[in-house]
Amino acid sequence: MNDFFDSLDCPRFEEQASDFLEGRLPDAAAAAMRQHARQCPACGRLLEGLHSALDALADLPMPELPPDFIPTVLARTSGQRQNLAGWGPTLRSLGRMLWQPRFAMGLALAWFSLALLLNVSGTHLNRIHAADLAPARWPSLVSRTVRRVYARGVRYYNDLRVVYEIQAALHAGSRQSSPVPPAHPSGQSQRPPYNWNPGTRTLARTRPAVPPASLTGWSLARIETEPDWKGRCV
Amino acid sequence: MNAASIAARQPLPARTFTWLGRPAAAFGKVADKVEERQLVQRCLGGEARAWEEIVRRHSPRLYQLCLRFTGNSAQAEDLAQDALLRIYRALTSYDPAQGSLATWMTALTRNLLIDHYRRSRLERSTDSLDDPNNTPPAPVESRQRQPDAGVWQRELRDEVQAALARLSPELREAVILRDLQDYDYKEIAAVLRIPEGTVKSRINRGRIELARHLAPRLRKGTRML
Ligand SMILES: [Zn+2]
Repeated sequence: MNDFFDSLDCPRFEEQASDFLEGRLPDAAAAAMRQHARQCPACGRLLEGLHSALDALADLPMPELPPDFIPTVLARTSGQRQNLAGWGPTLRSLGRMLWQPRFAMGLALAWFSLALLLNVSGTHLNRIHAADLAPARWPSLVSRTVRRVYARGVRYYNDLRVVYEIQAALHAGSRQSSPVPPAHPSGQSQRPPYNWNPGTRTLARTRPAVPPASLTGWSLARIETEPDWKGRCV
Repeated sequence: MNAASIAARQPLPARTFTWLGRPAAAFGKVADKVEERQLVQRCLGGEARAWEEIVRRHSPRLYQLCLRFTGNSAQAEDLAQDALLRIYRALTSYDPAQGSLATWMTALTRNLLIDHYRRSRLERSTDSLDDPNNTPPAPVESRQRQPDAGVWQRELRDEVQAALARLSPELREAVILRDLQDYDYKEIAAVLRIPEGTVKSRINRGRIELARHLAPRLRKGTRML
């Protein structure tokens, strides 16, 4: 303790004043400070003033925020929220959203519908190559699909037409052998037994009745002359 | 109160600073750090409520720092708002491993205060007000009437503010951070980017200088009370 007291001059006292008041000094050093303060009037006054100043600082109240302070800050920062952290957080929140069952279910249903649509239109994803995905290839990809669907439609129409032709030929053959039916009471031309639009040029009315044997050959010939869309596209 | 009585009363009783209703010492605890980190993450995720929470939580302290440093409420309001705007834009660069959010926000605000101090010093182009050795005009006092304790306390607060303004910015910021904002030496060293020994020395010198500026008023107050 004597060592501390002996080595404690006024500059050293001043240097340690805050540590002493905050209780940061070891016991021996604190005792030396107390001893010096009792014996040295200048250092005693310094310690007293320091203590009063700290009390005065502690007595300063926390200032009240101006009333519009927080609204102003929020208004000044509200428009910049999106570009605050780039795309990372946005993508993460999107990921979290997609993980929710409702969105996952919706996504699965949408994918199922798309797959069904592609299947119906005859598009097979496993036959699409990377090169097909180039934007330059998109028009040809689309037109190919359109042509394929159109060709199917044409084939279906022709098949239907052949059925009608056969039905018409059979009907004509049976009419030749049967008695003429009575005229329609209203005087209109007689309708075919099937529901065919009389305003259009129907094969049943314009083509002569031919024996069923030759009909088969004709319809086959017609099918052969169909344009080969598939050959042109693939 | 004399030196002997002060010397006998050692150590100082723990000061009960509060920061938004809870002791300042509560900040810096592990739970608070975790909560703080989550708050920042939510804010970075674009959650407006999280940013609002940060603003509400830290605005009073940042405003206090600006007000006590400048001594001017209008300037303090502008500076604290600018600081929060800067904090908002820089929030992605906040690293919780480097320290608490409060320390980081205080460091950014402090940089703004120093910039403001240098700018205004250049604008004034005179150092008469900033020279701590220059004594400002003594506060006008009425010799006729004896002020009551409430008035005396209000006047003392004004004088403390005036005495803070007379400190050099280096000492002023150290005293404000320690004695008004209740940061420890390590945190102040992080805010000011100086060694802890320098922090300690600045705080001590700042307090002693403040005490010298306040001495006439405090002696008078002691006699009066
Ligand atoms: Zn001494």
